[in-house]
Amino acid sequence: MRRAASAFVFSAILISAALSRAEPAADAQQAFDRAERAFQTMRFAEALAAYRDAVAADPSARFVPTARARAADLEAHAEGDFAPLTRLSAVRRDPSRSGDRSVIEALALDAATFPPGRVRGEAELVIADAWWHRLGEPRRAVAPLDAAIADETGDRLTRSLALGELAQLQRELGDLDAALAVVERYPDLAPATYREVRALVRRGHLRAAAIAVLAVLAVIAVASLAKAASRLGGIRELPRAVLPPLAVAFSLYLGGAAAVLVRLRGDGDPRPFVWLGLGVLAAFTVARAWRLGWGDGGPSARAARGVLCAAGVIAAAFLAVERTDASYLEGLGL
Amino acid sequence: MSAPRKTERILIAAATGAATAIFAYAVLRGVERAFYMEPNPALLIWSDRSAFLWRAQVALYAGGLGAFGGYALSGFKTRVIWLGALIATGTIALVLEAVIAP
Amino acid sequence: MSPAAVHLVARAHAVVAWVATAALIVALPLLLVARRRRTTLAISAAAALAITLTGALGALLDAPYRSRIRQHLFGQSPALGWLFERKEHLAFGAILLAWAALSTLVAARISRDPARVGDLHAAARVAAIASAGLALAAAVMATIVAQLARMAHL
Repeated sequence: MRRAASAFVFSAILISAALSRAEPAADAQQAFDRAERAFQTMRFAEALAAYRDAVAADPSARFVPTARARAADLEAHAEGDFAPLTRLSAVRRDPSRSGDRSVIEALALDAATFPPGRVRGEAELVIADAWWHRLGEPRRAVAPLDAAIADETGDRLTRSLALGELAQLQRELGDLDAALAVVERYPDLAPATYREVRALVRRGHLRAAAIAVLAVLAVIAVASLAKAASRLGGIRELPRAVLPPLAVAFSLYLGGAAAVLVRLRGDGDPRPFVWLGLGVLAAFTVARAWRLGWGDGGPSARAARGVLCAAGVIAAAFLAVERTDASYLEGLGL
Repeated sequence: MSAPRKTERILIAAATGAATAIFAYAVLRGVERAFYMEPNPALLIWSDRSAFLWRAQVALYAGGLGAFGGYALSGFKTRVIWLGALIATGTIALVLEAVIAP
Repeated sequence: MSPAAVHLVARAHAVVAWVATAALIVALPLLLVARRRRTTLAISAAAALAITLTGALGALLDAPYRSRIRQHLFGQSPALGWLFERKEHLAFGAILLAWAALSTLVAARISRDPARVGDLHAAARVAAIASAGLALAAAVMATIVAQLARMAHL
């Protein structure tokens, strides 16, 4: 009888211990479910409290990492007692609303009154995205992106994303100077974008210089060909005189064989090489016509001719690469 | 000194091209070893492209360019002492490359 | 390529390489002593063709080498692996120099200018000596690697 009584007491202790362990787990699960429901229905203050409760009730539960992350995210967006976040989420969670002009205009008005914090910058990004991509008015995206970048209370990642977007937008609008101005204002915010825009500006200057060199050569070529034709006694003699077979073969080999090699390799663009070959052939032609038209000249004239034609080859090579596959220029640091 | 015939010029061009290709091969390999990180061959299970064959193709392309130069140079009514010197230079470059930067 | 085919091509590659090396070495004294002899030209041409065939067979073996042997070779001994890489570089040079020697030899044969003939012969000698030297070095290196790899059951 005494043995049966002790067994009963021992079992009761075990069951109560198990139940006492089960209670926090069940409480934590309930709190987490409550938090998720509140989060879904945009009752963010309630969701934050419930996530905290879930973590406190059972720190070893499997959903604790998710609960912690959600709580941390909500804490970071809690300015204005979650009113700005609620306002932003109402637009962000409904794709049809973020494509509605009146909704976006209203959000822009509200965003201007948001207190400092992360939500303000994120709202500006949503507004910019809507103007640029959904409503097809990219110029109206500039101001909200500017505001998101300038907002120092915003998240750094959001600001750098806004900077990248604005630089991209200005490039698409054809205003590279504006893109450069914005990345130069915040050089440390998005270093990769800064380098990219600087490289584009540099390429723009080089392109202008290359076109200028080729334009000068073209003028010289036309004048020289006219003069050479009159010297040779007719235009029919010109091709033979200005296009020696060796120069033609060299140019074809230079461009053609390199293009074949690139094709064999399989991962490159052969077009720059074809254009390079044609550019070299053009430079040969100009040099030859120049000499035929105006005579060999003294050493300085020969040097000038050589320098200008070499510059022409470099200009043609640069334009060939820049216009077809600019990734080759990155390898050269341009 | 008489001007060389076309066949002679083509042959000189071929030899110039060969010497240039050897020199280009040595330079390419030297640049690869000096400026590019290569995976450890003992750990590299498979590479879909042969670095050696690609290098050889690029060197032959450079040799082709050199051949044009050789053809142009051989047109002058001068001696071709430079050809032996070019061959020797290419060979020395290749041997140095093989010894120092295989 | 099946392992049997690889084995067959590797055998042929080795045999032709030694034949070509021998031909290049045999052509040397003829080239150094005699001028404009048909025999010298014929041996040089045969040597150039043979060493080019060696190169072509070697190119065929490149993919199996990369996929089946290279890693094991370097794993077994980096020195052995690098020796084989060196051999590839020298072999490339030997092939091109053989053709350079042949070209300059033929050019010397058809040239009408005595001074240029002398220059071309000098160039042919440099190319032939270099080609034979590089081919011999490459063949010896390849044989060493093959023997040591066989001993290591690679």
